[in-house]
Amino acid sequence: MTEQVFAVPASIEGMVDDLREGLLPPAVFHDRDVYDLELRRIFAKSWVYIGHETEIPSRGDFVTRNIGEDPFILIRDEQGELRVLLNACRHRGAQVCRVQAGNTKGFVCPFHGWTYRNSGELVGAPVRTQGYAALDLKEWGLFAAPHVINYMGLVFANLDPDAMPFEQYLGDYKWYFDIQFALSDGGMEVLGEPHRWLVDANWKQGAENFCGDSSHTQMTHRSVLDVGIIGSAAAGAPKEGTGLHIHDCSGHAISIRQIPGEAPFISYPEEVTRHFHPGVLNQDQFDLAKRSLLQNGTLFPNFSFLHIGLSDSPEKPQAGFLTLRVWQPKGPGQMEIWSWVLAPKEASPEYKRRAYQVGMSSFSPSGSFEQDDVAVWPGVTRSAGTVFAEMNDVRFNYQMGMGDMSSSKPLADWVGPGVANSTNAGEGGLRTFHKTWFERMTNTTVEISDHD
Amino acid sequence: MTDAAIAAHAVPISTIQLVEIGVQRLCEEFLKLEAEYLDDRRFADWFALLDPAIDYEAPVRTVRENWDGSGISATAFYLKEDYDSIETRVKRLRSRYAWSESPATRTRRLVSNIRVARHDGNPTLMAVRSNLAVFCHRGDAAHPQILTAERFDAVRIGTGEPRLVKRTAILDAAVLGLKSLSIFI
Ligand code: FES
Ligand SMILES: [Fe+2]
Repeated sequence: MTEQVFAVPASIEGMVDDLREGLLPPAVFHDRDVYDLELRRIFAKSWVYIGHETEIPSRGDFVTRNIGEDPFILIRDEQGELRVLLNACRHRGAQVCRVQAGNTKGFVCPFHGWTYRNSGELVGAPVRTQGYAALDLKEWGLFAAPHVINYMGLVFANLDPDAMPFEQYLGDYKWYFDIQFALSDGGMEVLGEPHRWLVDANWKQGAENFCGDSSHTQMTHRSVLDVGIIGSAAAGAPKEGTGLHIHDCSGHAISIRQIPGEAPFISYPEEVTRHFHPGVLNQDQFDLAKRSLLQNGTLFPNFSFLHIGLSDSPEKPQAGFLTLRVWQPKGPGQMEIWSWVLAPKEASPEYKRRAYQVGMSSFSPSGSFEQDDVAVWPGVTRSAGTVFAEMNDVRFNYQMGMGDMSSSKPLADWVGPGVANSTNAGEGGLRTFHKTWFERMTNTTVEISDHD
Repeated sequence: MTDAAIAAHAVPISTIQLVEIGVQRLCEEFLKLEAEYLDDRRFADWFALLDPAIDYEAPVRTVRENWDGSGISATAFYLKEDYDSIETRVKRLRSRYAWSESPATRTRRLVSNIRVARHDGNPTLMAVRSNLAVFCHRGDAAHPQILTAERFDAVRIGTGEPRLVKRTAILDAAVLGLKSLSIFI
């Protein structure tokens, strides 16, 4: 495979010094050459989320998805195998699939009629005996992502033939990640088709936010706090003991709100939690879930989750749900957000409907939380592109909770992996994200300690 | 409209049905008044037009092959609201910290192609189908985002003022260009 030679842009070359100071050059959110390198070094080389197996339960079911800006088809073939196929005809490149979802035994290209099985194999081309007598069908099937994994129902793909195995990529973060998907034996089920919408902000705004931007809740989401559809413990100001930030966890980060000594269990009601038991989780993981009000994180680069309980009216009880989102890049200044709502498979149909409703009402285009996030984020992207920023070497400040800035030290006796802070008055998770990003962009390893 | 997703939610009107001119006018004026309240951000007045039993939804749609149904989801929605949840949204909009609508989207709703029919066996419940275009101007952007939708409503008439009992608003977009759906449709 050819590695295109793209130099690391000058705007981020010296960024490691900024990272050490907890600073970020605006170019990361704006420059086209940075973006072009991201598509190659981040999206073409990371494990990127494609979809959930419950979206395509039957043979032939497919949905169309993207890796970076490249179009792919996620399909369950006749053998039941999950395939991630490039949506581009091997003849001269027309898109063989022009819808977002469906069920098919194969694809017939609308341009000249090359015909593929749903496994991607080429089975024929018109007038083959006259014009393609020597065509080796085996050589000309649809391109497929070289690595695809189904991890607890989540399908990830990696376009890099030399990619490290998914488990290694996930690393220690597995400890937190698994909690989201393995509380019950059946795992989590996707409820309905995804929301998709465009926001004029860089994709990293969403990705870093879910790494633990706990201090934005009080300001960005103040209107929601005012109407009382989130419990005060879950939404309160950053607080020692209840807020928990884990960063530097194999390059990923997570934010947790917990009530030590209590068992809110992410606001799932008893009818759901009675299906929960440790199973593949160990007791420490299970206990953490039990005392959690919410957990949110980003698996680098652009796959985020939020496990939380909310309501759509103060008159109605909170309902727990899991939302998954993909921050899909569409140029440096725009992203398409994809979001799904999930609930434990064992939950009743009524509960799933309720979980969907609550999830949609809070995190979706009409979500009373998310509406306000995306009202704010485009401002950052705009600031990042100012000539003033360029002229004055402007840096964004990500120093919250760093070193002397923090009133507390990382927990010495934390049960899980990563660096754990017992307060969420910090931006350590965001610093982890940008450090990982820099390492992948430059193919280097950076040693930075947040608490020297 | 044969799609189960629509049929389950609303009375389709695909033949010419003549209802009394007064009833027709009443339903048309009702939709126009509703649009006026929303464009003028008179949310309390708008909320008063809703029946407490309101079932208000805007399903997600997915691009599918022509032979593969309408692509209108029966399970995924942009809005899936009842009286309480709408009231919560309306209350939130009153907050000066509801950043998506602060400053407010300037909306201009065009409601057209209004067709009215009777629900079988219920003389006071009218099926009202209409087209909607909403021009959304945000901030200092020079160009509006335009949302178009078809709406299948059930409007209760009879004694007192008409009230909206049910709405299914089917957006034409499969990917929303609007950064947030912070308006009612
Ligand atoms: S491009 Fe597909 S058959 Fe020619
Ligand atoms: Fe937020």
